[in-house]
Amino acid sequence: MMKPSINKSVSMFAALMLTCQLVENLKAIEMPANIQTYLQTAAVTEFGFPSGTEQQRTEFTTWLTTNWPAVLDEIEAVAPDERRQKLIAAGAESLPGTNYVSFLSGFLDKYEAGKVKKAVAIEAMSPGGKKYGFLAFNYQHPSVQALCNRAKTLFPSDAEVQTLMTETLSGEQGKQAGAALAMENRSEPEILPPSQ
Amino acid sequence: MRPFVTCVLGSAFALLLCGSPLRAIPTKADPTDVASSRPDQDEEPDGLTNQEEAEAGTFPYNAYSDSDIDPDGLDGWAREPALSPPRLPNVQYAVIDLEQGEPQTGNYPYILGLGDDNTVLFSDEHFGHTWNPKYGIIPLSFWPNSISRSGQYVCGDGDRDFNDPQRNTSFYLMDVWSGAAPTAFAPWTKYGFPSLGGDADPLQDGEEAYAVTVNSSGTTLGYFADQRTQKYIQRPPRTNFFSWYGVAGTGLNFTTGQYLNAMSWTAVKSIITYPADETLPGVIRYENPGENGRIFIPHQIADDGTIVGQVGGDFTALDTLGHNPTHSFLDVAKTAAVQLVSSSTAQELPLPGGTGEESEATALNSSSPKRGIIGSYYNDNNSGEANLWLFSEVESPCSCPIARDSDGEPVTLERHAYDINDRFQITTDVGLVHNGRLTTPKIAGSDWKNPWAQYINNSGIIVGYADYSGTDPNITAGSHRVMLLPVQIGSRKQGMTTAPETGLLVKKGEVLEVALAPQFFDTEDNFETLITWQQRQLKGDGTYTEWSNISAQATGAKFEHTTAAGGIFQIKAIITNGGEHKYMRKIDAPHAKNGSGVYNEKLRKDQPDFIGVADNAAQVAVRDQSLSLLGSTAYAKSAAITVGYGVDPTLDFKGAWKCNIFVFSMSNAAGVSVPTKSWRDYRFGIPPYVDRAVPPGANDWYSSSYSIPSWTWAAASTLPQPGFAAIHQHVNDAVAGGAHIGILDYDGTWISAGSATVNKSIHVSDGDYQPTNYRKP
Repeated sequence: MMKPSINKSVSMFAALMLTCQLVENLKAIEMPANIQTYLQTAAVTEFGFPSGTEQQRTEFTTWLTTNWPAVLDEIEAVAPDERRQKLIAAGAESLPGTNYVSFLSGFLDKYEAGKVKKAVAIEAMSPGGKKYGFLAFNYQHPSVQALCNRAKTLFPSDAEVQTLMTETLSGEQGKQAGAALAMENRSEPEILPPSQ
Repeated sequence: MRPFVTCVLGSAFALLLCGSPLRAIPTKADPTDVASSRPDQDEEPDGLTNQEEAEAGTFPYNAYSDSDIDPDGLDGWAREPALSPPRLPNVQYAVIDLEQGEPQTGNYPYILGLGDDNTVLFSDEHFGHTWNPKYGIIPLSFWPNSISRSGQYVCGDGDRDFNDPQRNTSFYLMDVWSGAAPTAFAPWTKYGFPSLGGDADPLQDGEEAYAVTVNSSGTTLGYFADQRTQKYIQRPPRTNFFSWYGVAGTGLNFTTGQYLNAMSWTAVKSIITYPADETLPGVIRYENPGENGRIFIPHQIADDGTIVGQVGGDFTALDTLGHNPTHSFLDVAKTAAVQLVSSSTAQELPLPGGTGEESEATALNSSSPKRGIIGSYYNDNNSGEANLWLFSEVESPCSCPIARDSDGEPVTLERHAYDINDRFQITTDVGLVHNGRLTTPKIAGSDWKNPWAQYINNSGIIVGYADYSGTDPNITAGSHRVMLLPVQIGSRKQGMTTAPETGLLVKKGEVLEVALAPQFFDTEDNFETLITWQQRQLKGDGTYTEWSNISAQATGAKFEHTTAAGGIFQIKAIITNGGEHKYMRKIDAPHAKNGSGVYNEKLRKDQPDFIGVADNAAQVAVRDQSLSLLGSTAYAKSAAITVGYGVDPTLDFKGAWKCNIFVFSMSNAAGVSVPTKSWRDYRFGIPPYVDRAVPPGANDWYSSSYSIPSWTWAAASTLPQPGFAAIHQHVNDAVAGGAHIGILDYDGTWISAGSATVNKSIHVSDGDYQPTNYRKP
């Protein structure tokens, strides 16, 4: 049966408006050509850092440090697929600690809104690049505790998330992260300032 | 027959579906659906991916598409239950120009045959020629007629005296390459002729002997006819005679214009097989094999003496024999292929084509237990279909279409099938039948178009025609007679039958065997002067050395090479006038996706492949151990692991990257000891502190100042080898950043623990992982 033409017109109009809105929102994010190109081609390396040359990585993380709230707002347009979402999450590990916690919180919001894929959201709660061990070492901070508890709530049937968050909250994960950092001769992560 | 249990289960499943009112019952799966949605998946599995099933015209949910006992992945003719030769790989072809740059000229540029020794027999308006990969073009002083698989050829009537049509003749068996390198006009051995005109059985006036073909043991097949009449119409001057006729197929073909010659026989008296020992008692005569006034014209003799040919019954229509360039017996009421099994019996095979249609058998192969005979039958419009007939001594003869399309329907060919080899590849005038499908030979590169296959030997080498349209100034555009050389470069370690699917890794000093295509491993090679082999080596910085010859002995369609140095090598064949062809991957490498789900395109099928050579057994052991964990999630970032080998058992490294733990474990498991290092746990800032044993980090492996017994550090400038550890450090994060480590596989890919699995997603040439340092066990 044919749909009433008015419905079809409304649907097309809605789609058009949505497209216009996305374009408008993207305009709100300053996205230079080099960043657009980078997002099209780069990926997270096998050890948790954004790929590319040193210059490309620096440009990307500098851009993200400035624009991360807008990127989060329009994550479905900036990073519509798993590869790019993982890239955004990995790049966000260059943010200062407090901002990083806010980013992760916003990332989980977007997951709840259906804009971020589940596998990416779960992986973001186990940072592997610059922020490796960050949650484990800040397990006593209320903002981190809130994040971990929220992750447990959001992914109730994921055993790995449950275990990791539980061990993070208990401090046990700090031992594992400490050992891993020591293996790699890496310095311990930034410790968040006490909450006000 | 299909296995009984499969049939029963299949029937039960069909009944179950029939009982469902909710869905339509598919009579067969549409291969194109799953081929497009899941091209790389093998549903049954039967050894063919969905894409391959679509190309083969087989069913993706049925491992036995033709209901025989051979699964589709092994069945070369998976839509024909009567026929199951081994499935052949899909190959590309390199073009060798037999015209040496100039397009074919003259009125009779016929290709007359191809031997298994790769000798091509052909003619032009002046003479016959042979072309051999070793010797090139050699002109002949007789008109050749056909060539055997072993490279011998016969001349139909080399002694004919055209000034005396009543004088009868003999035929010759010639062996071109029986001695030293040939010289023009005198390369062969004359075997003499069957003395049919001798005392025992003299040829009578008006009789003529004629050689048709020869098999690999030198048995010549011919016939002689009587009551010949010849009519000469404006017989041309002798000096130009060769300009006006040629030898085509099995008969004389007198043409054309004002110098029309017409010729006929009223009977073929005998079929003759003549062994090469020149003893008259060896001559076998099948008297009047056509019987009842019909004549039999033989076409080909197999190595076991089986003969196929054409039987005709209406002589009166033969007075224009030779006028039709397509086939000789245009108006014969019915013809048939004949198998002659002894001197006294002849078996007629039931062939397609009823009364008023004409069948001819043109070629047969030597396959056992089933033999293939190809031929054609024609309708009243002189167009027809080519068919394949099969028979064996243990089964009834059967008739099969020469190929089927993707819907399983018989392919209707325009007219003619030319040749069949023991691999059941068939050349036709509309394409090559390969694995039971009519295809156009795929030519590497784009300079040659419209390949037309005429003869094919048991190595799958084809001779035919192709049009040159490239820009090489040494090759003139136009149609050339060409050899199509199959290219699917294979390698193996001496003693192996094939390289493992996981890639070829040998230890220094072991002998490597390489062939242009797998079948060349087991055939004689005379391409030494036409094919040379080069290699280049992967460097530690991801670039390559220059291409250089592998060795003076690395020539021909196959070669052996004793490996003298470790490394990771690409190889290529350089074919004179036939292009360059790299050793390529046969399949997509498994587990080549990174943690972001991105597949490394360098590891795709048809991308250049490598051969790995390791200096020592420790490298092989470490690589093999690492490879055995490919795809494992035991070293995933989220996994908890008990490492062992002295590592603190209270550490499970949950949430940590485990690339270094993977390498540590693989090395120790392979017998190459890597000691732990100590970490003082100050975690809570409260003594007593605990010293915990942990594996060396990737950063430790990267650094030349960190000593790991049994592993020698090597800088990025080294030439890496399989079994090396490869380590990349995040350059601008030397303190806060990390490093990644893996074990090099045969091909320069890292076998490393990523976020989710042990994978092969990184290649040494990938810029994201350069610079790379190495360690050698």
